[in-house]
Amino acid sequence: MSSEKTEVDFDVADINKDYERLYGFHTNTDYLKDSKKGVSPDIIREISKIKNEPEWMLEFRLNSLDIFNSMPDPTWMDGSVFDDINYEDLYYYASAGDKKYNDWDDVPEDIKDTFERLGVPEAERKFLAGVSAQFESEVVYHHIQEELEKKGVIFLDFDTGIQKHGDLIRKYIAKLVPQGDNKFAALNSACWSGGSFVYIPPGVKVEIPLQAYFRINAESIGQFERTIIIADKGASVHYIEGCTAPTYSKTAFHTGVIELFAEEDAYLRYTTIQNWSTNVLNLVTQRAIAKKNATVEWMDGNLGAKTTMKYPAVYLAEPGARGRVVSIGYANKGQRQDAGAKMIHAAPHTTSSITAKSISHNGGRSSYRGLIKVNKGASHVKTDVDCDALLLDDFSESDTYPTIDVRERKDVSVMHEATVGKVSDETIYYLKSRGIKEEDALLMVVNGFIQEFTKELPMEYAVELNRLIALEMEGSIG
Amino acid sequence: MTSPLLELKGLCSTVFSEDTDQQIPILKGVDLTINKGEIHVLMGVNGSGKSSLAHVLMGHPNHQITEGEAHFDGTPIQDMESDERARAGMFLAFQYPHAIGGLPVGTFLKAAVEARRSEEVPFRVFKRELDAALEKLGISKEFLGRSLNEGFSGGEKKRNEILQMHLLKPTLAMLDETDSGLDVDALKKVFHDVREYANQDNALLVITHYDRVLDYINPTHVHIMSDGRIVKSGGADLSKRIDEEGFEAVLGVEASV
Amino acid sequence: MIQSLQQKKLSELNAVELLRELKKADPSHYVSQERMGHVERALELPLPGAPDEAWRRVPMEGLNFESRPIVPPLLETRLNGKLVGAGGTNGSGLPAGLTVARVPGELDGQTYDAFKAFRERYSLLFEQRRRKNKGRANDVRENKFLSFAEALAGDSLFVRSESGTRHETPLHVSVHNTTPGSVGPAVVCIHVCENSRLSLVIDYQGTESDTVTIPVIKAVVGKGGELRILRAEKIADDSHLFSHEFVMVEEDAKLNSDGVFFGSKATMLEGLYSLMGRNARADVRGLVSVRGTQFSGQKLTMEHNAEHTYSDTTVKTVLYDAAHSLFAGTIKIPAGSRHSEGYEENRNLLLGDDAHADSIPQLEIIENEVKCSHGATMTSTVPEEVYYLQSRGLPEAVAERILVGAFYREILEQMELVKEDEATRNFVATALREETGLELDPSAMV
Repeated sequence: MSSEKTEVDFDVADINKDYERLYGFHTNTDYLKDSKKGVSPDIIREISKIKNEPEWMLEFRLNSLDIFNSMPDPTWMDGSVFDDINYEDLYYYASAGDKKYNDWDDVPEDIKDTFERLGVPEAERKFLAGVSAQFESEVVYHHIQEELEKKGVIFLDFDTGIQKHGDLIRKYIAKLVPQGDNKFAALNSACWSGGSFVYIPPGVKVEIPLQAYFRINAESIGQFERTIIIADKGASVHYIEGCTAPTYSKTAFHTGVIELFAEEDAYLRYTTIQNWSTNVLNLVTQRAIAKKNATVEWMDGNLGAKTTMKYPAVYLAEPGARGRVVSIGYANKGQRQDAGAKMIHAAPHTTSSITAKSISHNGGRSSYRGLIKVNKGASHVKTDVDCDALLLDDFSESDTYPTIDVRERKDVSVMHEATVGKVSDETIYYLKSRGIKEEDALLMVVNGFIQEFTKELPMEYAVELNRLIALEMEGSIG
Repeated sequence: MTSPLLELKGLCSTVFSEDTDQQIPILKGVDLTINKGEIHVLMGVNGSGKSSLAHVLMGHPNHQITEGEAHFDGTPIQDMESDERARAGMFLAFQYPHAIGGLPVGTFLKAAVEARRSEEVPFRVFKRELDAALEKLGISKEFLGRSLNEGFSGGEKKRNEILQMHLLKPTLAMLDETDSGLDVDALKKVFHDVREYANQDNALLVITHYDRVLDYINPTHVHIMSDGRIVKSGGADLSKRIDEEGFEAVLGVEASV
Repeated sequence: MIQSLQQKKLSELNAVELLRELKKADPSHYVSQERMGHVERALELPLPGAPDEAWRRVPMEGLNFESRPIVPPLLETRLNGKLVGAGGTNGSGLPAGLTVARVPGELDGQTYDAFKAFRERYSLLFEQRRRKNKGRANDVRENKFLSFAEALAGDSLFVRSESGTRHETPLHVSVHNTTPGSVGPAVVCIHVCENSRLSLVIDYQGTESDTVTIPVIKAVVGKGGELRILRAEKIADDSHLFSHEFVMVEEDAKLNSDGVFFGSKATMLEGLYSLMGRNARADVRGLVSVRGTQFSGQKLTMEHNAEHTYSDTTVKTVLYDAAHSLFAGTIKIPAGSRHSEGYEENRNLLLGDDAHADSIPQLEIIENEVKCSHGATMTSTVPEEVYYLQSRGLPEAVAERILVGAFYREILEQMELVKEDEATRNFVATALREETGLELDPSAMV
């Protein structure tokens, strides 16, 4: 893989041109020269060896590979989605060097340049507790405020986590997302690299969000981040993951596995805004467990990517557990946002809510796919689902596929509501009659539509999200 | 300099009906001249075309001028978009203002004020003006955080429209049945605020079905509309006659058509 | 003729053998291309299930479908309680403008032309729709039961109301499998001609044990016409009913489709309602009441294939004991069907400790000039409501019964044919009493 090749690809990707101009970029890297394509036990062994992993992790990986090889594609989605994936043609591991950086000055210039363009350093200095940025598969920059360390908070890249807290990770890994849960989870379990390991000790409340910034930066790299976050009894944490990716013409592949554990009385929020370039296949398994009186919240923003398949789940395991998902999806030309949420009420006195807002534009297709399950014995349950879809033109698509499965009757209340519609001409006229230009009026309505999501974000993210939406909508008034 | 603020000559219009996919004639030759410093009241029975006239002037997408002339400040408005008309100084207080979920009133007001002035208004400057307006109109600040018109009571919607009028400072403010759906106390309050706004540099066009608003403002002109035309014009006394004798008696045969 | 082949061999051949026999036949003779397609699908398709989101939830254990003998169910038509129309009494007792005939058995010149007109209109449209449908992964359109009925049904029943004629008194069509252990395929074709109004009650009722009934209802509601149809199902606890319905609603036409279902080992209704012309409208209502270990499911698809179309689907389900229900409703508004409105509502009342309700209300929208929404709720009786009634002096059990009764009545009151047709009213009241112990005065439903 030479750098010339990727330069050429800049021009090939016509569908990505806008993206390229708006926020896509590419930094030359020559770190791929030693990597091999495809996945095999040998490659797995090699990855594990490079990472100097314990024996149990190698076995976990090899076992997962067997499972992956024996699994079919999911059947509930039209198969065409998976046609683009050539597992043999992907790089399963790429490292930008063997060094991690704790100080910004140590980070190489080209990587720094990437971060500059993303605006990470400012954000970090201003308010972030720590930055764990994943550049390629390897975490290259890592910083955590000393104060947090003193409190016993662990915020590490997953590899370091394995080295330093192997026994702890072993206790939790694949407990919520078993290797055989789905084909992509199996692949991730075999080839994972990067991601975060976070542990918040009992009673510790982390006041400021922890953030990791993910990027894919090489052609045909499957990025397989693996993240485990544990909020111990009474702990509280907000973790933010954001993604952007530069443009490429070949299909990039992102399949992460995220497992969240909220112990008794804990509060855990996971916020993600994904803005992959429009050639990325984004297939992520996100699952959480909430114990007694614990709260888990997924804030899930999906822009970009060619196809997104993402259904954050909360397993409400003990009485008093609460689950919440607020998600937005923006499907532009050629894109498919298949997102949703799952709530499994496995205990009585549990509550959940799902708010999903989708916007389809320029022929894009958004789908809500969700599950509400109330198990036998889970009495005194309340769950509300609200899905609203906005179609910005008359050739975009919106689907809603919720499933509700209830097996308990005692004081169970399940509400599901969905609406689909457009921005009414009357509304635009009303705003215009106040002197506001049509494109601004439309943007105002769209931002209002997703406000339930943006109001949950830290200010900087809300601003950035609104800016991204504005960029997506540029030229939407014919 | 000498041109009237609003001048309509033989204005005809149609409205597009989505149910029938057809253009339906509404205005059938409206003549009207409004100068600065004047307060006009436009009356008429339901369906006479009063509200349509307001929407034709504001540029509603379903209303179309088919014949005649409409000038605002000497400029023909036919080819102007609603937002251009608004920036030029026209304003319409809607009878049924639209609700927009997730758009806070405060955010919306700032955007509208900036659009009207065609410049960015620093937050501090805007806030000072806004606070003054809120205080003057007796509206609580909590109002600013709510979504635009969403879940507003009838009175709140109307007061929100009047607040916008005070902030946007239009030279021609049209009020489309702003009095409807208000109880006596709210009516008194709203029209007190309307009266406060009127001065020698602007004009009002108050559209109403009832003459009770005349207890709160003193019009310089009263017009009666029927079947898409202004069929009678006069001073404040005209409305008194309608109050006493009814539309039909005042207009004779015309109104009963 | 095909029926001679069937009559001769039905008793000797099982389904698979019969289908193979049919497959060997020369299609140019008596089996149309369409029917041959069904023969092949009936042979080759597996029992419906995954990945179809609805059918994969339908219990099929112990069905032994292919080893059952095929016995055409009794098809009878009644008007005001008297046998009329097909089956030897052709033409008798029928009002002017209403035709009821067995096809092909009773096809004389006139009915032949009428049936041909229906077939041409229907087959064309239906095939077109079926092919055009993009087929999302979780919605499988081909179905073994459907093809089985189409391939093996004996004489189909053909009901036609002539242009401009109005038939307010409902014609009862009873589809009744009387042979335990057997499978009974049946096809009913309905043609409501232009500006005609037809009222129809389809009874799926019987006490016979271990039957499988596979009816297919195909209907065209012509321009300006109206079809009012009510399906009333109550079969034995160990029997099965797998029914399919396809209704085309043309310009300015209306479909009013109501259903009352009391469950069985497995009762499943798959309905596809296609709004084909401007101002076409469909209102579909269902009441499902299941107890014991019964299952009742509905997979209803509303396709808005023209501008200015309207649909409203409401299904209410009451679950007792360990019963299982399924509602899978889909509204599809493809590109071009501007100014369409589609609404869908599913309410479930869970009264049994082991009851299990599945609800999958789906939307597939490719047009933005639309109004579309769906809602689903699952609740037991609301404690506040019970409390409110208790505070007025009613014992808890009475309060519960009143609330459950209100839940039933609310939907029954919207069903025109329940209100108008005494036989149906009595059926509902009796079934409710027998199945749930609930006393609902039939006259109160009027």
